[in-house]
Amino acid sequence: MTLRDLLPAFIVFTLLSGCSTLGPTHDIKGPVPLNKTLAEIPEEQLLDAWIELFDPGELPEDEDEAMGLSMDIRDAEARYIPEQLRTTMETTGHWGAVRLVPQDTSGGELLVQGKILASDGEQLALQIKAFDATGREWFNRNYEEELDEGVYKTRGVNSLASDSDVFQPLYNTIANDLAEFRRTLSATDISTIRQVAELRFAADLAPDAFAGDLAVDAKGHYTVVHLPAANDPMYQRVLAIRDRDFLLIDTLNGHYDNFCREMETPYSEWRKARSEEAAALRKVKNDALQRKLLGVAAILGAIVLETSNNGNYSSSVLRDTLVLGGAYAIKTGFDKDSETDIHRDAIIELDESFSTEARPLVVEVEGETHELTGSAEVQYAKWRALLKRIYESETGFTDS
Amino acid sequence: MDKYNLKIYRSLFAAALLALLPAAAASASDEQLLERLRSDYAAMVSAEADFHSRRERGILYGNEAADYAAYVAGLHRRVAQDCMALRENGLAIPAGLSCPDDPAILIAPAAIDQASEQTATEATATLDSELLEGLGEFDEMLLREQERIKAATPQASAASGGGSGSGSEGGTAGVSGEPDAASGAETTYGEGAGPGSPRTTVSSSAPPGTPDGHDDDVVARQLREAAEKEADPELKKKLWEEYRKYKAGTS
Repeated sequence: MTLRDLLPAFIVFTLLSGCSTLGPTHDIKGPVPLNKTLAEIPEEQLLDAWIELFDPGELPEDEDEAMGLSMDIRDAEARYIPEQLRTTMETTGHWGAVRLVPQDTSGGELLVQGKILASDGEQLALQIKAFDATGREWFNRNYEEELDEGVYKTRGVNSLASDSDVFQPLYNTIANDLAEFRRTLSATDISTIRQVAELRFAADLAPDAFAGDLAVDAKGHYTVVHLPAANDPMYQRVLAIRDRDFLLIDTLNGHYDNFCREMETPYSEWRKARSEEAAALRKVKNDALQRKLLGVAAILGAIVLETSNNGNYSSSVLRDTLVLGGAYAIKTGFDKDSETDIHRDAIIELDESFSTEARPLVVEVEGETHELTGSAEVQYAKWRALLKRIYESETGFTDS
Repeated sequence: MDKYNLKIYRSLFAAALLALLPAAAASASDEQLLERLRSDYAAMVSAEADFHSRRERGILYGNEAADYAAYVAGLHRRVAQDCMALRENGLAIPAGLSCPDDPAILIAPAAIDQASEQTATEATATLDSELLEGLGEFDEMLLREQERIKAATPQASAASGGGSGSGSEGGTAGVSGEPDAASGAETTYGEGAGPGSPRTTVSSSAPPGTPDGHDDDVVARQLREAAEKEADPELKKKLWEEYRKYKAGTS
């Protein structure tokens, strides 16, 4: 195969990479308009979207990148960031109820999962996966946004708690991609997703009655085999319990709301202060490097001058000046290096301070969530047993 | 019969049984013993007849039937004890009254075995009652939790929330001229409002005098969302009324 043969493939690949809205990674630069509905979508065509609390991911291996960051901060972000996506999606009008749910919650019509790949106040990188109830994967992409230097300054102190999030373009991009995929689905697709979500819940709660109504293939894709009658008493019971499930999730979202409200100001302040310190650190590092390079260049110049010197007095003076100047520049470069420690310490202190603030908030919301979901699990187990007895009473069928 | 009526019946039966405690017969005179036997016997016969009548008419089933049966069984025990007390005092059982031959048998709670008498429909109805009761308790638990959440809502942040922020970063939302029409119609809260903001904002469809929804709890939020989305003007009006009533009750 020659280069000539490869050229068309290369051109196609380049073109596809260029229009990368559907590519594996979105590198977001600048503002991104949010795609909203032009007209109200009928209720029966709306999909409820559940966003799982994000996977906090891992801290960077590089010591400089990981400086000061902690899993306490990540755990807080794993609850705060999906809430930003939730509010963004809810504003678009493309969805029914958009709610946060704990990880491994089943029963949603659209489930969005996320993992934090990087987050330090200046950069946010997320991996986002979306599935619907039928098991269809909508996409699995990475989103990355790096803020321009000084963004926090231009937003001003007063905007910390009231404006849209500083990474709003990233959330808008994710919301737009979800809406874009949603638009490719037909009315029948939407209806099927909703039916499958209902039936999966029913089959989980009353498998004797409803497990046979769904078929699942090796890839985990669900299809409806049989739809229960709308007035089927057992189905009505299951739907009554499903309403409670929604109410439970709404209640959980009350806790998440409170958590985010408490997190909002300290988190915004931490990101702003950390970003400023990191910018100052980079500037000092650059200054130090420039001075050292300048000093080395001056000394090298002196050496070159010495080798070409033919005993000229003025050349000797210039050589000495270059050596002394170069040495001085290198010294000030090293002096400048010591200033980086001040900014490093400031960043570490900021991170520790915010960790201390975020940790109890995370523990509290986690405790509330466990308590509520734990009680619900006990109740659901009772309802499962009760539905089984009702099924046996109504049909006369028993396990034995 | 709903779960609340059922609860009332059960409480009444329990109270009636408590009132029939045998300890009351400790030191009664012969005349009093005879009078008590007549009274208890009449109550037993009447209750038993009523029980069978209701069962035949199909208006007594489930937990209510079980409670009623327990009540009748208690009356049987009471009559048997009255008879024993009379015999111990050397008195004859009045004519027209028949004492149970063996009170010990009657003491057993299976005087009327409801479980075996229940048909499949009755059994399902009993289980349905249990399910309804569980759902009610679950609702109450969630409402209590929502009250707790509401009480724990940070006030300062709540006040600062509610920015309408329809623009994306850099103020570019609204490109292509699409957002305003949509957001006015159905958005629930502003994109830029941040996590601390309420899910509802003042909507153009809300009648004058309707609270702005900045401190809505989950129930209020659902009512508001339903009112905003309702197309039927009459129903919409009623939903807004419900919303205002609920807000008035919780504020």
